[in-house]
Amino acid sequence: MKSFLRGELLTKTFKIPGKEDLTVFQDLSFDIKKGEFICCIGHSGCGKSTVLNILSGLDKATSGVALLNDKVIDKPGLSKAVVFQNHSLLPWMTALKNVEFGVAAKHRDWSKKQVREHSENYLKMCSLEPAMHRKPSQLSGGMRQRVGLARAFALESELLLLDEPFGALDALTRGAIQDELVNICNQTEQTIFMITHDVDEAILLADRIFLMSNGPYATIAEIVKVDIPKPRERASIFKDKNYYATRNHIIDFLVNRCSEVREKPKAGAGGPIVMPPEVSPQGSEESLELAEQA
Amino acid sequence: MTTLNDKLKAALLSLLFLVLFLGFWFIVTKRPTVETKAVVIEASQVSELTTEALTAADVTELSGKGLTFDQLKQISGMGVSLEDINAAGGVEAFGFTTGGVAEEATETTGFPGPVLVWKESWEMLKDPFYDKGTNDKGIGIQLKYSLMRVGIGFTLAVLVAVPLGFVIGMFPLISMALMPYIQILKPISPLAWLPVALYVIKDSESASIFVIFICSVWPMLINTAFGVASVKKDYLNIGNTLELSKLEQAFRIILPATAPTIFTGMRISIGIAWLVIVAAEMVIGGIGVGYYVWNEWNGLNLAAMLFAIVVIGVVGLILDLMIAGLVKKFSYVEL
Repeated sequence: MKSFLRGELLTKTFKIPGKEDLTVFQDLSFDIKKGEFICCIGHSGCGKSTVLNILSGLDKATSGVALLNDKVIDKPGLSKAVVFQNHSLLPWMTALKNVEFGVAAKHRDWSKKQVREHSENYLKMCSLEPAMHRKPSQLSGGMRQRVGLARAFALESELLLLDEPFGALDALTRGAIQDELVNICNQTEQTIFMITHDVDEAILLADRIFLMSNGPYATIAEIVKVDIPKPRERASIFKDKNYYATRNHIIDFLVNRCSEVREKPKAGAGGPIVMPPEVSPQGSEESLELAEQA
Repeated sequence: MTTLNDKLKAALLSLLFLVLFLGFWFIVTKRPTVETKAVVIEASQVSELTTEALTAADVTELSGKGLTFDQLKQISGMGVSLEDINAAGGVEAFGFTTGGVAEEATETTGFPGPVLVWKESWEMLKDPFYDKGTNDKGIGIQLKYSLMRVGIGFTLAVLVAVPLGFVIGMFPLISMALMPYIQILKPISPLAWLPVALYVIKDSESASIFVIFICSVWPMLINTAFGVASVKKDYLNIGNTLELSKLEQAFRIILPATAPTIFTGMRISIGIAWLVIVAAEMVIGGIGVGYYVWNEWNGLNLAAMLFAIVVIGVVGLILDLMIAGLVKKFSYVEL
């Protein structure tokens, strides 16, 4: 399949005055197909957010390129919608106006009525109908986050970048919004790149999970293909035979291996593009029974 | 959160302070009404003063009103009778002062008390737009001129300061290049510009408007520049992600994000402008509340002067509240 979003030898180095340069990650390469849901997991400081910012065009890699549809990503734009952890809504506008603002910017030829209907649909999809005319300060944290998601979804951009969108939410709200995200993804078939700290969330949502080693000189150590058929449901996903195998594999990586795999850095960035190894943990029926008994 | 009860308490306390102040003012400015002291004149002297016109009984009566022996001597020398004196309107008509002094007469020369100021204020408020020549115009006309000057000078300052502040805030290079000049010009008293303005413009009206302009421009310029420079990166990123043009970015994101800061700058500016116009008008003369205060001082009409001072305060408060309303309208809760 043709590559949709591609990273080639991405490297980010921060210059710190009076100190040695800090290379957060080096020679990051990956390939994402259209319609895929990718989750990226790694410990704090491994540069996950920087990767996302480079993909959105808000940040620039020190070396290497990111390509969207074979075009270099060099500036932010409507083809790449972003949702940050802190939702970044415009506080002087109501929820509806925030969404409309984005929609109107994308569809400049649309009438006001069209913009409103389109925006309202997506707010309804995120269960925000009763809160549409309130300003962000009058909404709860979960609602704000959903407005941010609604705005991103309403843009219907090819690529949706989510930076820990549920990070600041409590477990209950998080679960509810995850369900909504699953619904919306099924409807829109967007390509999504999402950063998370939550392993269960990643398994629930992702087709493939990027596991990043610890920084500095972080890289994508391996890619876990989640072999659980979609649509998945929060309530039943753990009954799949591959669920625990996948989960254990990821947790083992985060606890034991993420600092091991860090190689001694090469002299400099660059070299042949090496894609990270891909694994697909498989569980047996017996293991599932064992887990159930336990 | 202030409850209604708290507000009521505060209002009552305010009222109490006002009453205390007015009472203090009233007591301090009150002239003791000097009792008419009877002058005792001995019987032997009375006979000296009696003439054909003035009987001994008349002399006793006049001395009872406080006339001294010397004064009575003069009166008797004039050969007038008590009837003549009363017909003329008392001994005062002949140029004599008695020991007692009428209260009303003193209050016009001493510091006016609250009652007199209130009377004067009422007179002024009843007909604020009367016009009886160059130096005698109603307070309404004076205010109209002052407000017009502030209005024009302030509007010009807005037109210059907001766009320029935007440019300074958006381009750090220009900010760094202009800041030294702004820092030097800002602390100059606006009145120091008055002679320059008078010489260059050669028109006192325009010179006072220029002074208002120059004093209003700095707070707005600095607040706008600061506000624009410190717009949250998140908001700008939204604009970038939505591929807004520079102009859209400025009007749809930076302007609403900065509006509360800009209006706060305007609030400071209008306050300063209202302070400065009074001083400028005192110097320039002609017409306006500042000149009015000075003119009443020159005419020693202190009650009218105090009234004008209170009016200046009230108008300043109204101007401030107007812009405070705008600040509130455009402010938002930062998240």
